[in-house]
Amino acid sequence: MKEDRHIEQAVEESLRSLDSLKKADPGPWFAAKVMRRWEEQANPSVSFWLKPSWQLAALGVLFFLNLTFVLNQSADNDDRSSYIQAFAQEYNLNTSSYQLYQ
Amino acid sequence: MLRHLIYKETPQPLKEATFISRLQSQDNGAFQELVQTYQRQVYNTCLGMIQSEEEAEDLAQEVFIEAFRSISNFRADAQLGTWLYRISVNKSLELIRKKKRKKRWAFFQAERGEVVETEAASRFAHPGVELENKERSQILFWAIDRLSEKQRTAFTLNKVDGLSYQEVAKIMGMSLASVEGLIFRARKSLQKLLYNYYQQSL
Repeated sequence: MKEDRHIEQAVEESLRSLDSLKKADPGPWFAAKVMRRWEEQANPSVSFWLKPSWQLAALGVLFFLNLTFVLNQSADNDDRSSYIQAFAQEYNLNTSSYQLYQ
Repeated sequence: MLRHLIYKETPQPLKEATFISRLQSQDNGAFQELVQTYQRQVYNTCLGMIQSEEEAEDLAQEVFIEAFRSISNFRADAQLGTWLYRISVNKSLELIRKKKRKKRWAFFQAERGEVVETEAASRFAHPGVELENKERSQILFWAIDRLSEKQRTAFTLNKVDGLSYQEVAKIMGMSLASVEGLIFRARKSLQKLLYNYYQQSL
C-alpha cells in the first residue's frame, strides 16, 4: 500500500516535470546553415561530366567509335563476299546453273 | 541576455500579406527573415517530437527548406506560424516512423545475435528542463515515445510547446473536443506506462 502511494507520487512528479520547461535555442549558426542549405539546393553544383564541353567531347568519342565499328564491319563484309564469289566460281555454283526446271 | 534580445518568446507576426508575397516570389531576404523569426518555434517543436538535439536541428533546417519550396501552396487564410507548426509536426512524424522501422530492423538483427543500442542509452534529456526534474522528465519522454502518433503530437504541442488546446486543434486540423479527448487519453496512457515503469524499477 505504501509502495503503491510511492509509485503514484513518482508518476505525478514525472507528469509535472515539464511544467517549468524553458524553450531551447538552436545552434548559433542555425539561420546561416539553413540559408547555405537552401542555396545549395537552389543552385546545385553541376558535375563536370554534365558540362556541355564534356558532353560534346563524349559525343565525339562515341561518334568516332561508331564510325570505326561501321567501317570495320563493311571491310569485313567486302572480304567475305569476294571470298564467297571466288568459291562459287571455282565450283561453278552460280545460281543460273541451277535453273533446270524453267 | 543577448539571446533574449535576439529570440523572442513568441514570434511577432510579420506583416503577413506583403511578407508572404515576397516569400512567394522566392525573395532570399524574406526567407532569411522567416528563419530568424521562427527558428526557435520550429526547432522546439522538432526537439519535443524527435527527442534528439542533433536530429531536431537538422530537421528544423529541412522544415524551412520545405516551407520555402512549397510557399506557393500556402493559403492566405492560414497563419504562417500555424503552417510552420504543421510542417514541423509532419516532418517529425515522418522521421519518427523511419526511426521506428529502423528500430524494428535492429530488433530483428538482435534476434540473430547482433549488437543493438540499449534503450537507456538513447533516453532524451530536454535542455530546457530544470536540473531537479531532469531524471523524471527523461522517463516521461521515454513514455511519450510510446504513445500513438496523434496522442504524442497533441500532448507534445500542449505540454512541451506550451500551446493551448485551441492552437493544437488548429495545427492538427481537429475539433477542440477531439483534442481534449486526445490529451486526456494521452495522459491516461502515460500514467499507465509510468506506473508500470516505476513498479519495476522502485
